[in-house]
Amino acid sequence: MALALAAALALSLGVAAAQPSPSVGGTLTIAYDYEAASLATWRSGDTNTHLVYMALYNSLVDKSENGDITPSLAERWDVSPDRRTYTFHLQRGVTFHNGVAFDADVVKWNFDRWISPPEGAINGLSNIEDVRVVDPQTIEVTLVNPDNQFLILLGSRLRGIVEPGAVEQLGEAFGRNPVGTGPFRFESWLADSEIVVTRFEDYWETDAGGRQLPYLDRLVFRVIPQSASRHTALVTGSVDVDTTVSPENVADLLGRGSHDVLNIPAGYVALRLRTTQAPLDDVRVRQAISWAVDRDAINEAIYFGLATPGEGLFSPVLLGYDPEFKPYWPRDLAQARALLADAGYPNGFDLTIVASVPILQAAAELVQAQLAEIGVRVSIQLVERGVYLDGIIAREWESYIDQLTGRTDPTYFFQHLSCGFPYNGHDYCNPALDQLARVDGVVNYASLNDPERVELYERANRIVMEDAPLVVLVYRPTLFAWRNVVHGIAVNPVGRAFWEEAWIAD
Amino acid sequence: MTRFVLRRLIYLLPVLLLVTGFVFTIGRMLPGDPVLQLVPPEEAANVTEEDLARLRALHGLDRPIAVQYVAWLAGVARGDLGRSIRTSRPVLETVVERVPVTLQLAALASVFAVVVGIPLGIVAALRPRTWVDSFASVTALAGLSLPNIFVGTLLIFIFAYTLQWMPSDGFVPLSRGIGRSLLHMVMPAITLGTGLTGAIMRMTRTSLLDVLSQNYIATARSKGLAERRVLLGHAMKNALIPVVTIVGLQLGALLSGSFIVEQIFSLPGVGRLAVSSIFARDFPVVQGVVMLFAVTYLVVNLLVDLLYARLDPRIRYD
Repeated sequence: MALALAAALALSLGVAAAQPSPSVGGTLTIAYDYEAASLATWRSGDTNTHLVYMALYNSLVDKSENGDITPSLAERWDVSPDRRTYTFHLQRGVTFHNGVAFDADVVKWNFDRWISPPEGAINGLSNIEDVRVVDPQTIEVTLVNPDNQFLILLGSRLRGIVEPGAVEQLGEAFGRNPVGTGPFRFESWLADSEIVVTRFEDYWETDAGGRQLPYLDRLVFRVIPQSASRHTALVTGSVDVDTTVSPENVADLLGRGSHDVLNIPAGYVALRLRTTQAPLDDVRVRQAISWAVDRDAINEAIYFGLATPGEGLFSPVLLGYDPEFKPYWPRDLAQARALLADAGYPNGFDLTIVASVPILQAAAELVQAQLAEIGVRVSIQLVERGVYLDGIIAREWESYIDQLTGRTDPTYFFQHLSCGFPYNGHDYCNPALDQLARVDGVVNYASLNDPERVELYERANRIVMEDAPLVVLVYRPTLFAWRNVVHGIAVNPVGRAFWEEAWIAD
Repeated sequence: MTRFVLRRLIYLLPVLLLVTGFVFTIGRMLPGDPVLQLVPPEEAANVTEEDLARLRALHGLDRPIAVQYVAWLAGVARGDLGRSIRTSRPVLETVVERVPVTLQLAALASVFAVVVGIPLGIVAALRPRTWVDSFASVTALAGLSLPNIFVGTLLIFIFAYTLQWMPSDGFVPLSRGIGRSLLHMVMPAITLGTGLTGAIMRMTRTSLLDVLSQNYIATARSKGLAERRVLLGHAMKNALIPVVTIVGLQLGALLSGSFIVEQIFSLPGVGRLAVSSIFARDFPVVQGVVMLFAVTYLVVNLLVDLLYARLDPRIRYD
């Protein structure tokens, strides 16, 4: 199934022989490109903060390496027939880093806080009718309406379980003194330089062989903003892991034979078109653009062949990915010209593409050259990220090139195209698609990978591809690299890394 | 003297008011909404326009700029610089914890520039229009002209990537070992200091050549003083005045250079804080950094003026 592809796509250079038994101890230094803003789950939720959250916190459930929802602090759960009541049976013997016991009261406190979060919090939950403690190991949550996203929302580390006493005592300062139940406990924070976490001796989880986790003594998260500096640090061994590898450095790393690279095609890069103004309001014009772009050339030139060229809404690691469905493949300039002529633009038109980061500006330049072949005269406008987001919300950009990161669930990939959604800079609105999103939220699937759900996603994909509000160019690679003495880092399709089973061979 | 210092300190106030007011207005007139950047993409589907509006109200961003500025000034008067929008931490704390890094970087860069620039300038002045002079002048010109980003990248490529003698990144506080701390600072300090080195060298050369041609130097020589005494005891003391000015004036260049150097070498200083806060539209932190830089700049200029009086007894402030 598509999800298994994630593992298959890993470019591993080391011999994939049976791994020796993990050694215990050691420090793993992990480089990332910017610092966590805060370690308070209600305050900060960017990708890099999540890397640290994964060490400090557990959620009730997890999103595993192969994309399934798996038990974590809830060892199992039952769902009522009307799919509104979830009964969570909690792990026993779990304690917080400060020694406080984890139980149903703690979970209720956390739920209450998600339901009525502090001002400006980013991890609020709505749609919850009632939360009831059944016994110290059992908690029952009743939703207002059934919601297939519920467990996925709980699986995010934004809903990592925090220690109530510490939050009440510290308030916002909790963000610098976090207390969770995760495999590592917070030790120190040197602003904009490094965050250190150390092994939590009383961690509740063991590995498959019954050995105490985590294996490592400590993790150091170090900020290195420049990709060239991160590369140098990884090559010289001053860091062990780089979580944001630039595509241009991959060949060098693999050529050394001393590093492994993990490539997850989780998100995509797309040229987004505003569908409410001529000439882009004509679907034929949008389709012509999709026929005219050369996805292979973009993959080779910008991503050094590490991306996956493609055009569907869902990337290869997500539900709904359909390798057979390629409506705009292969590139067909004759078809594109015919569509343009049909729409009344036989001599093309002028188009402005907005980009916000250099790599996307480079992609836009390729698109510029490719569209010139059908007479579309592209000019490129580079704006800074704040301006860029503003323009999307205000529906200001005629077209913009955008990259989407991996998501825990494919829903967002078509939800963000729904009528009136703030980030729907296409100003695109197709009630048939919105209807599918509503159905997906509430239909009673046996599991999140239910064939019925797969079919629904394929239908959504077809609607969007036909309407072409966006031209997907490639599935972008999320690249991790580590020295090949490092083992056991599991990365899920969203790019969240599990650290508890990581170890360093001596 | 005291009156002079007091008067200068009082002048600080209107200047600060102008600078912060200017930056405050510019920042908020820039397109870009800080609250949009707070919402992680994964959660964007849960966020409504009302949520965004509440966030804006929470940080007072929905009020007119003038009102926001006055509220900010009132806070500053009470010693409260506000809280970071991105991290919710107090701005004062956020800015102050970065100061040692930038201070150490700028100090080491200045030391490097003085230690290399002055001797080069002296050597060039003592042997004008020889190959020594040409060599020193070309070196100085190169130092002045090469941008920090080029020098830094070159140093990383040679000494960290290829030879692997030096760490390419990171900051080690002095408290964790002076040796390690300095090792991590060597390349950044040289990068930041090259421009200043060039400026100091040229100024030393010109100024010393000028002084050496004056009558009192001829007098000193005719008294039979050793050339060494003439140079160090008589000539240098006067030749240094313009050099001190240069060091003072170049402080602005050092502070703005720290923006880039801290980025290249991953140093957690004030410059990098400024850069990331500007991109995140974290206005309160930007204001804090601007305040700090403005005060530093003005105070250093004052110190330079006072230093003149020490170097040249003819200069008096009353």
